[in-house]
Amino acid sequence: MEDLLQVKNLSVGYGGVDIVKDISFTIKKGEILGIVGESGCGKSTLLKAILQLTGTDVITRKGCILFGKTDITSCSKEELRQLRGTRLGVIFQNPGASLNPLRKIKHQFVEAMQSHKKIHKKEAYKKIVGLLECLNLQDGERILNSYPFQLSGGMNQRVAIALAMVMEPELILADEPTSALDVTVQAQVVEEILKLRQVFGTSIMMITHNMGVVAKIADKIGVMYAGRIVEYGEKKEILRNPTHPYTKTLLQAIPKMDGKVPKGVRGEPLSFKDMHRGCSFSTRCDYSQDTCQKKEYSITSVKKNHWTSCIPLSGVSSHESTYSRSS
Amino acid sequence: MFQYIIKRLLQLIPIMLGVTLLTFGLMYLAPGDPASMKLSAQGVPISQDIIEQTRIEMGLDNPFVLQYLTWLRNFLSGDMGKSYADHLPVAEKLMRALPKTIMLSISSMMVTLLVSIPIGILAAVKHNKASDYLIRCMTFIGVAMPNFFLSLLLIYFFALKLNWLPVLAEGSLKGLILPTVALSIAMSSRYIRQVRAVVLEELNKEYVVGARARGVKERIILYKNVLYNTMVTIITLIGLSIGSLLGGTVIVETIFIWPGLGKLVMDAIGARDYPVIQGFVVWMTFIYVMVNLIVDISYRLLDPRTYSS
Repeated sequence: MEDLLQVKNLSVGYGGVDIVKDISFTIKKGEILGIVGESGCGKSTLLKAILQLTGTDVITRKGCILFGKTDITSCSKEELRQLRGTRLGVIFQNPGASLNPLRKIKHQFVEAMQSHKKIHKKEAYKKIVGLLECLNLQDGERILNSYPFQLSGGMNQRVAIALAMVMEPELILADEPTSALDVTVQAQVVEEILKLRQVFGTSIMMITHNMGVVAKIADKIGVMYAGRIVEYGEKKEILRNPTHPYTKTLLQAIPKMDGKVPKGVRGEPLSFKDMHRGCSFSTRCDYSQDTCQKKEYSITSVKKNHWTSCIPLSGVSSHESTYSRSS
Repeated sequence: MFQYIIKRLLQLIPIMLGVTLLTFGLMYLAPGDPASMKLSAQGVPISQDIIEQTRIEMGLDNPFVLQYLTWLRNFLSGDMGKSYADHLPVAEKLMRALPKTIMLSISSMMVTLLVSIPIGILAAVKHNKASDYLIRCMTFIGVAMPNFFLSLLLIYFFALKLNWLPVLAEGSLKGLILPTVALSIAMSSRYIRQVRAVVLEELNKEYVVGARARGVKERIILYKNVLYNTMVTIITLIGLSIGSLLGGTVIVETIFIWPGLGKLVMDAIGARDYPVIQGFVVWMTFIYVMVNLIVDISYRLLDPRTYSS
């Protein structure tokens, strides 16, 4: 399959602090990548960097983001604007917050459409009703004539998904699209997102801290810790055969119906401001060794399409990887 | 909506009654005997007999409540009493000054809005850039400059040195320019800062990020979304300003000898012309409650959340 998004050695920060450090991954056409990690690990910053949104104070320091054949980091503002919406869509965490509270939903749809192509209001409206139907939003007319506050959170999120799909972008970036929703509505929204791929062949990068959602939706999983991807691989591989201690603890932390309190990750994540040598997880890791304090971040391959940044547990001798990180 | 307006109008009745009672009560309590004041204002030599007679004529020997009710009845039938100073009916005096004040209010409000909304938006969009600093610096001076000083400067340069405009306005259209400018400079300076602040706040809202993420044109985000949403705040500001402008701007009107309400009431206070002051206070109250009502109605029209919930 063709590569749609290639992120290469990307480092991103705010002000003087680097948040995302040296990240590389690829999303192929029609593929769903789940990025998991605890709050504050840089997931959302990564998403903002890919969008290159102005006004978010995110500064790209190093690396490049290839989208198709264009390097997003070197696009002009107008090129970026045209890219967003038409080829890149976003779903935000807070349902409804990405909608203007004082405007009817239909105006926001039409405005998004008209920003990218010349289309008459009525024609746009017809297309939008069709799109909503396609996404199982039956009473489209009523929804379009409502204000965001008149709809439920789940409904707003589905509207936001439809709004992101107005121009049928090739890639959807979803920033914790389910975390603010009820569990019952979560399932519905996850189904909806999966449907995007079925119907439109959309690739999706889904940021979440919900392992259940990732297990349901993703083809590949990237586990992020302190601004780096510490383990990456096929979903089944990661869930069945996790190698990085962080991934293991994350999986252990999922609550089960056995009445036991799940075991969390001990300690606190490091502050991004502190300089730290060696593996950034070593302070919280049960398997930490002396070498962990010294080694630079490097990745080792475990299997085909599965790599980790942990030396002691990878089972493979440590070496500066020549293996392509992005595959 | 219609019901809402009716309900609000009915609520105004007790407010107005309360204010009139308070005004009347304050005048009643004020030191000095209205009868002797009236007589001395007319230059009548005061003797105890004449005072007593005038007191009875004015109904001052009646109990307070009766006096108030008589006053209120007359007031409602349009009779606000007569000025102590020149015997003209108060209503007539107010009505004569009112158009001048309305003229000045509208012209200075228009100038203020035309200047401050675009400049405020510009400052917000160019946040922390050179033009923003320049605008903020200018508005700082504008806010800090006392009105009377600015008026004098304007008269000095444009009337005396350049001879473009008359020194004394006297209610003519040409004479409107300087007082308008004097009022607008101070108001615009405040407005520009306010507009800048609300637009900045609005630009940081998530829906703006959302619209940008959808690739909506920046121009559309600004004019169709952000500006509209800031209107609620801006209209509140306008309401407050209109209220105080329609009460007459004492200093500017006095300096430019603009025959508006502000000057009228200043003269009345100087002469302890109680009926005029009373009439003026009731008028002010009326203006404020009406402007408030209009502002509230406009909230409902602008923000769908206020009437549906």
